[in-house]
Amino acid sequence: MAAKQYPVINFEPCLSCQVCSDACPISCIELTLNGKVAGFDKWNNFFPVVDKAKCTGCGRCCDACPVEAIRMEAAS
Amino acid sequence: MGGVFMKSCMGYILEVDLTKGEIKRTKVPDEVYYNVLSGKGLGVWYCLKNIPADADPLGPDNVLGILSGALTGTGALLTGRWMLVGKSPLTGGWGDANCGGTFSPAIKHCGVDGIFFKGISEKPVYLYMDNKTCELRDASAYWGLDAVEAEEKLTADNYTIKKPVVAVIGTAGEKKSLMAGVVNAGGRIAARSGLGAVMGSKNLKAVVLAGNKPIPCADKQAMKELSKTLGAKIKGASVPDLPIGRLIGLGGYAMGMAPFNFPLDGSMANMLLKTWGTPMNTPMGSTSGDAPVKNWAGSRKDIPNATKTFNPDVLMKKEYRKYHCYSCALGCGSILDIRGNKYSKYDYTHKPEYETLNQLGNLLLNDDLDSILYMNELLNRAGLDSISVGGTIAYAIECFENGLIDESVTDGLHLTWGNTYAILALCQKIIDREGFGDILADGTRKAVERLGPETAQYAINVAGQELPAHDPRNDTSVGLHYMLEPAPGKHTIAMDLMYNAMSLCDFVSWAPPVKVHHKREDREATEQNALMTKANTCYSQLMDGMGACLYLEMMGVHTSHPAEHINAASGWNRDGEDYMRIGERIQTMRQQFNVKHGINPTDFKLPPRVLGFPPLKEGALKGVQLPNTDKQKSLHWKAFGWDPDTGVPLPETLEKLGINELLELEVS
Ligand code: SF4
Ligand code: SF4
Ligand code: SF4
Repeated sequence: MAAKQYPVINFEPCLSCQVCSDACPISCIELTLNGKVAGFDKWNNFFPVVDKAKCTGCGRCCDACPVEAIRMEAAS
Repeated sequence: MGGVFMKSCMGYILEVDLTKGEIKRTKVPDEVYYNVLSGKGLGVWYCLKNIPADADPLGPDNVLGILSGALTGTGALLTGRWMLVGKSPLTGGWGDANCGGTFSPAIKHCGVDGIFFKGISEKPVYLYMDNKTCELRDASAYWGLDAVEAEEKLTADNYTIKKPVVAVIGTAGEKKSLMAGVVNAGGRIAARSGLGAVMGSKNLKAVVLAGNKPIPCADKQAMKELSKTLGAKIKGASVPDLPIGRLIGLGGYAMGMAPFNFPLDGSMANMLLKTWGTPMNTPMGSTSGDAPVKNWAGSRKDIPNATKTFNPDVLMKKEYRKYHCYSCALGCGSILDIRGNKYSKYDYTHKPEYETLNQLGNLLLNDDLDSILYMNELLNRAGLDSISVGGTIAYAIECFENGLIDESVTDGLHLTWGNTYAILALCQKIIDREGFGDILADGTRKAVERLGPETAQYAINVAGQELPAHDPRNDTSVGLHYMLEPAPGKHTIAMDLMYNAMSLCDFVSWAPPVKVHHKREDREATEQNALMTKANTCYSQLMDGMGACLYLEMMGVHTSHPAEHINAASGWNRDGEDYMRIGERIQTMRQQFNVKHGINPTDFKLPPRVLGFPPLKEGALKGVQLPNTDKQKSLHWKAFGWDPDTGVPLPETLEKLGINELLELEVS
């Protein structure tokens, strides 16, 4: 069986648009200030954070992201 | 009548009879989507069919519809708006309101494009819906809570698998204040047309949605490519990181003095909106003449501190974080940290919009920003339209100042211009419907009935809907749309400035070209100007069918082309002409709704003061008068194929647009 995959978010193209958090069927993505990454666009100052303990790896967030800022990767 | 299904829609609606407690999920014919999309289009189709002409807006026969947009959830950016529709208790005619937040996709995740309520529940209820369950639940534990408290509690109490999304009325909707709207996302409100009172009249406290069905899109990859391009453009638009907010007022002076409207690249507004949101217009508006001051009878000279008080950098410093509606790359909103505010017991508030700042600020000559931030939060929680509340308080102040009412009527409040204490107290009374607040809680038209016809001169509304904060003496077409709209008093249809930014001539062949034009030309009644108002109207209706934000619209067709987006979402291959006809159809149906309900479109008139009679003596709009509006209205109606004298859609127009056939279709 393939290793379980999790969404990994690339903050560079991310638009803080909440499409991923909305698409997650079990609400385990939230956009929070804690997701803030130093140096990134101050006008988009909150980012998606995945609750890995809850995530099932279904990939719906990745599928929904309008700018392909999410890829699914095996847990490291 | 042909029609291919729109692949980005769910194809169903929910029909809820609150009197009987019955819920049905029904299929909408494909032709409906093909001809009017979803959103406001689907809404007007349903309401025109199903609300009887004699329905009392607050009675069981009125229908309240809550709808998502045709592009919501497809990966298209800035298309997460949801809409309320129904018969407006403010005007007695067509009502609709539009709102951001997170509620729009939640409707589609439950497998429907819209939810329509009729009847009246015996006891307070809320609708709960997820993939499997759909039921009315007892709302007694939430009745009486403000919108923010109720949303938090309903979310927590209904959270099983997917976190629910909630649209809710505040206490004002419960009390059937005709200025009430419906709230989501902690204070974003679908405010206009008084539809929150309709929800309250139905004893419906909230709609709680927790479905997680995927939302389809015909060509996902094509949509992603469009979004990547648009997203990068928006992300790239930034204002230099300098405290330049105070300079915006100067820009307004220049705009006000310039005799011309220039062609603009619509995407220019992106950086301003991203940086400051709509409050960027507050200092600009009072200097350019866009922002009405002192209940539309004053000018910037009456409120000398305005540019300083309303410097948007002051608000920006209070930002706790930015706020984006669902699917928005721009994020014109933010959450403000208002701890330390001298009035507020709340810690945070959504950043007030330009409209709110002006209606509670310049319009009342109130330059106490803390008081405005506090009232903003109070009104969001009560679920009240800040545009109407500001207009109503301005009316009351002017009545008081002119001796038409005194302290025996105002419960002892000394209601003078800029008296922050009295304004705050009155705002609370309106929310609570207490004493003098009860007289004002249904807006200016009802207040005139209660306080006497001599007060009518200070009631700034069109057919009962209070006017928002854009002055027609500065930009004529905004004023025309106040009167031309079936739901009157809307500032979101167009301005001459916006026409120049949108480039609609590159979307549809009949829209007049964008050009440098003298502002005075805009005030003339010409067929060309009528085609401009028609183009803007159709485009705006199309956007509401899509669920798009006004700021997507303003970016112009060169930045975001609706045909490309709708084609990618729907699987259709149609062009601008075809899509503008959809807008034309939606607008004609909205007008037809009014005709059916006995509303006379010629009654939609701007108050004389707003037309410059008498003219202003100071400021950017000194001496400006708009004498030609009846002629302009008539040409606009003619351009739509409506009777130029009465505004009634002509039978051949209904035929040509296929509206009669469309109205014969039934859900199944
Ligand atoms: S959907 Fe994509 S762009 Fe939007 S917030 Fe999530 S990761 Fe960022
Ligand atoms: S992979 Fe599935 S469960 Fe995990 S965050 Fe994405 S949508 Fe949610
Ligand atoms: S631009 Fe502003 S109002 Fe429009 S969708 Fe984005 S955040 Fe919402």
